[in-house]
Amino acid sequence: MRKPREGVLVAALVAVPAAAIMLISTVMASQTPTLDEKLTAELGQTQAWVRVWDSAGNPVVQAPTVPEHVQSAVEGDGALEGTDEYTAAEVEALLPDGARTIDLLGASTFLHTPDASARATLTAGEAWDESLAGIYTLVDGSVPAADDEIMISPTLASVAGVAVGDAVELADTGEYTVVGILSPRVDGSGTVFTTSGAPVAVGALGEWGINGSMTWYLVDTPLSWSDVQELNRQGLVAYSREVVTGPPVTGGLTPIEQETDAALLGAGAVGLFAAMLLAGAAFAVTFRRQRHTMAMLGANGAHGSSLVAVGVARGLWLGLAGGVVGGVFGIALGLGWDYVLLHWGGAEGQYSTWGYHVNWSHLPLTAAYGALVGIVSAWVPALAASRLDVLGVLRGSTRPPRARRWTAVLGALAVIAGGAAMAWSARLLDQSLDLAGGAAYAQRSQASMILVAGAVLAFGGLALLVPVMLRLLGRAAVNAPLAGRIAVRDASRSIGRTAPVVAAIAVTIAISTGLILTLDRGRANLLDYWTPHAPVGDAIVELGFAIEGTADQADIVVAAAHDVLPDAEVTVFDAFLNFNGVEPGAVDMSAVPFLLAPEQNVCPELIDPEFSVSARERAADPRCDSREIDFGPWTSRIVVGDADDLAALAGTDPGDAALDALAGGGVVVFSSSFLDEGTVTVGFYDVDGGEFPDFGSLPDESLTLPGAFQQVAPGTMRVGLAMVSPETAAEIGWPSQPTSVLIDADEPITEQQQAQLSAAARMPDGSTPWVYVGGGPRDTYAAVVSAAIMGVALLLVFSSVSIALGLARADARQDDFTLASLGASPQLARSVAAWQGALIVGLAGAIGAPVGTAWVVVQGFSTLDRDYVLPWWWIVAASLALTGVVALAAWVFTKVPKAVHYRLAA
Amino acid sequence: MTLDERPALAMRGVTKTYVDGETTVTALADVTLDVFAGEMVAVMGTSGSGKSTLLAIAGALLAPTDGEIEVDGRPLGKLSARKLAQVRRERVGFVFQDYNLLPTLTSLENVALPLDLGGASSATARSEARRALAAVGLRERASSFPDELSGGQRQRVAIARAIVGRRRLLLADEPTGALDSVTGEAVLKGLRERADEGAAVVVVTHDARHAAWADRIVYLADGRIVDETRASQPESLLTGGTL
Amino acid sequence: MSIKHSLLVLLGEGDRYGYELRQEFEGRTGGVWPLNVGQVYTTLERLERDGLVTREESDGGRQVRYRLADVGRTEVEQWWSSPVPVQKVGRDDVALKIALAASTPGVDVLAVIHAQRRAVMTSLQDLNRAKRTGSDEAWELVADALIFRAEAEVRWLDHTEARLAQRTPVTASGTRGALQTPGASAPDAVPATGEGVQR
Repeated sequence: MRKPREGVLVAALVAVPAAAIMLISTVMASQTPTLDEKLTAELGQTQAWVRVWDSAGNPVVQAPTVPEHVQSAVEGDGALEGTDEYTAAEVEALLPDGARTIDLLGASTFLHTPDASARATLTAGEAWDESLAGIYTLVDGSVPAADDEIMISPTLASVAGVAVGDAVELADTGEYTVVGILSPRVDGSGTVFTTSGAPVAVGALGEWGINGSMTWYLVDTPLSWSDVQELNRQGLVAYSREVVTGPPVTGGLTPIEQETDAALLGAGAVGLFAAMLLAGAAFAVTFRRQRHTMAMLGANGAHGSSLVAVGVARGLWLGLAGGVVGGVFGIALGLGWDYVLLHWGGAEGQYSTWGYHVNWSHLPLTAAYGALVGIVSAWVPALAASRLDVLGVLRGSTRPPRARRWTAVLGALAVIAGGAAMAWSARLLDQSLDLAGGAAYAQRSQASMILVAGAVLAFGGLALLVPVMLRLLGRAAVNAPLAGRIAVRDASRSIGRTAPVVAAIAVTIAISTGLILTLDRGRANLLDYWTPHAPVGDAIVELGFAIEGTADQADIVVAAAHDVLPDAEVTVFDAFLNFNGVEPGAVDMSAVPFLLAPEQNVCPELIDPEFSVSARERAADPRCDSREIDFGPWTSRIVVGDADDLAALAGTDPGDAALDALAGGGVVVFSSSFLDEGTVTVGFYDVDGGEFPDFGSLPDESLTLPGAFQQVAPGTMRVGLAMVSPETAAEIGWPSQPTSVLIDADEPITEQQQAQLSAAARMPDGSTPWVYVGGGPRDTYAAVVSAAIMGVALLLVFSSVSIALGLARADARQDDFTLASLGASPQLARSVAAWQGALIVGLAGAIGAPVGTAWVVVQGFSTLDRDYVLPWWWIVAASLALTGVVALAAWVFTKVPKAVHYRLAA
Repeated sequence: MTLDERPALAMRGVTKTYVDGETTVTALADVTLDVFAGEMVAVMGTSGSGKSTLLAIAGALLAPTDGEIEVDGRPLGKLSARKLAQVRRERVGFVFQDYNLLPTLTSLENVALPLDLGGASSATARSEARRALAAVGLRERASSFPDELSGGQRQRVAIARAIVGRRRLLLADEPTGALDSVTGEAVLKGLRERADEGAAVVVVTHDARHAAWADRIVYLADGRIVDETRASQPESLLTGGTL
Repeated sequence: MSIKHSLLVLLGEGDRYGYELRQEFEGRTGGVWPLNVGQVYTTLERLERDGLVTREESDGGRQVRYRLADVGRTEVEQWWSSPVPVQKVGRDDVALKIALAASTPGVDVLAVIHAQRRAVMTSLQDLNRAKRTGSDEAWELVADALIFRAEAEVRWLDHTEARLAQRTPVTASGTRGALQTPGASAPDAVPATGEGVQR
């Protein structure tokens, strides 16, 4: 009864899922801020912050602990009283008397060095004050002592190439000296920290005002809930330490509840199942080996129930040990995951991971779970052992368990039923695309539940079919090499030790496959719908409006582009003046031309927000393509140019229809919604008089011109949504000037180059034109998470396989001697182990990968975007590679048995 | 036997000691034994006399502490582990008391094991195995698994495995231990036939009747050979004997 | 050895002459126990006297044919159904010799036992060889009987040796008898005597 090696194996089997549980727990805990962390991140060491919500001072009501959750408390129909806006002094008067405050203004600005310019967030005020430590952290240097001393964030320092002691310019407000580096908790984009008296801050205050952009931190004065409510009545919101640490029972808005993560519950249930399978296998094996001893006990009068008690007690202790050890290991893994996310997950990783948190209360739960698994898994074999045919065992009969046919039939039925359920779910999801609104949502929910049921059923059925599969493989293995034959036969004869391991690994593979494929599809979809700011890797520089013309600006930008990117192709585009940038009175805006899309070309949902269509209808309606909707059913952004300009925008030779339209006094549109049977309508609106295009409003004057459609490269619509020739522009009668410069670079433009461009393109008046660089969607987070999932899955697979092989080797000692006595090479044992490893993982993959993949396929029916092609050959290659790696590892790590005399070996 | 023929098995001064905890156990002490082709030698002795150790050393499963062993004239002492395995595969057939069949293989596959291990083609291995099974009268049980066979059948399969490929040295360690007397007789008769066909057979047994099948009986006590008997000239039953 | 019942059995199969009975007997028992003709006739006369057989006249000649009487038939049936009595006290030369050796000082009883066993084992090997070369089923049957009894004797000798080895050896002069003959094989069939046997 006391073979320590077997005990270790069993405990290890329980440790694996325990580790998984604590891993998930640790990671989730690390993604949840503790109260202290949250308070520190929001308040530093201060007591509360206050912001203006309703600038007119109308009362609001906020959620006590989530001040972003605010609603207007004005009774009646929402017509707000007054348009007077708060001044800083008025706000400060509302704060408790004598309270010491630090006010921080948030705005944006430009940082210029001789070599680079970069956009940055501006935080003006004493952000470096000690009481704000925790929100901002001093990294290097010292704090500003004068209005021309500033601090910058580490990201900005790296992007702009600035170090402590350098001189920089901020916007056009003069020179500043960088005296220190200050880091916010999450340093995504760059930040500049100045005093409130710094010229740039003063200018920003004038431009942006305090409402929504200024935050008052109360350093020492606590705010009670009633204090907060009083502020709410004045249209202010507050985040108070006192309220957060002792939230009121009633009053205020209820914060939105976080949904319990269904994924976590699902993972827990699956983990329990897998653990019991694994542990049950180990117990079955150990009890089989102890049958003889137990039969002796039975023959000597030991009562059945005491045998069960002994077995269960052993299960309890081993399970407990496994749960504790596995749990601790899982915590270590979770902390490692946190480290990876914090250091390689980019800004998203830093944002989501609050620190190295361990939810210690889960550890005893995990230990209890381990004990439970140990007890339950030991129960059945102990029961079986206690009801042994004592004489049969002592006589040494070793008949294998007869194959129970009903399990195979049940398994096949379950697979069929599960597959049918999954297919039905797919159909339901597909049909839901024809429903709208709540009905669609309800059907999708139903389909999700059916999908889960179907997947579980299919998986369970496949697991039940494992013995059959092994037996078939056994028969097919007749021509396999000896090691393979032994491996297959041994696996199919020791189903109790093989099937549970296969099932557990299959579960791991199914879940990982499903998760990774879902992430991959998300990434692919993201790519599909991604609309870059500019053509990917290239830049569009937008020139501002200038009454005297922007030709000079264009020249400066072109020169800058040639300077920074000598090999790039630079095109300057003229376009109609953007009426938004025009100073009142500078231009006669009584007849501003707008290109109008006929209402029948506009997506109905834009016209009437109540209008609800099914997803399929919306997709079938080309008018409702999301990319179209972004740019609206009317525009005044019309490019004026020639065929070469058109080619530059299109990225290819323009179509004949477009060229004809351009030459023939017509309009080339880049969005077909503007076309109405080959014509385009230009409406003239009296903007000076407050007239603007809207649904149902007709312009006083309009012009109908021939039109044609031309497809342009993604990201170029920033330049314009249509093009006319200069002659046509004159006919329309609206002035045009250079508005954008397209820089088509050979290599994708880097952030540093973007900063250099900005610096080089500074205008004489100090302003900097907007430089848009087209980039792809950021998907590093998804990649990191996928890698982490694969890592954990591999760990689980390897542990399970080594446990299974360990059990198999323990069973095979007698056979080892026989083979050695027959002259088998000592490597044979390794070959057998390799084959067994490959068999277990191969079978598990054959079960798990299809189920996980089918899940993803069915889920794909919930959207209309069916373009995602499953990376089939990746899936197959990964499965084969995994099998190969496991076989190789088994071969390497199996100890060669020594041929010892069998009387000494037994 | 002719003197210029090499013995199939030659053990010279073989000693085997091992340490068991605090004590040193001498399993064999200075054992010298030659077994020639065509003769059957029985080894008798009480438990602990070293019989099984002697057989294990003869079968290249154990290395002696001292002394030399030659199988078919090849000294085993100088051989690498790989070569020893080859010797076991190609020259020595071992029959155990516990049959030691692989439960995961059919009878045919068990019998074919030595050939499979030696890399013979599966067709050759199968046909040789069938011959061996036929020789022990179990041809029709070729696709049965060991746990579907009776004890006697299992032992016969083990013998078939020992003789497959026509190995010249057969070592049997208490092959009839778990069998009834009639089946046991059949087993010994089978071994005798192998000897008559030219194999060298060494049988360890505690059963005098079974030992009587041998040409020579060697007696072990405390690891030493203490006596040896042979059949006298074959006469009619009335002479000799004590009845 | 009494052949009374054997003759009755043979007569039960049919009337026989005396010499026929002898031939039949030897044939059926593998010639292991050759019979003296005189012994046959003497036994037949005694059987006739006891009424178990009857004499039948033959057609001329001195040969007498015998027939089994009803009493004889009954006797045969009884013989079949009753076991051969185990001899409680019989002359067992071997047991006698060893019992004496065990209690006589100066005699190496273990050597005596070894010598006896050597002889029995040798004869066992002989019996085995003879059995292999024989072809008669009756012969095999009888041979097996001898073999098993020889084996029984070997087992008794082993058992006795084990018991006696545990007790202190009986010596008259302080020298102990060697328990083992060292080393080399001894192919001769002459029983070895141990060293130091005192007479």
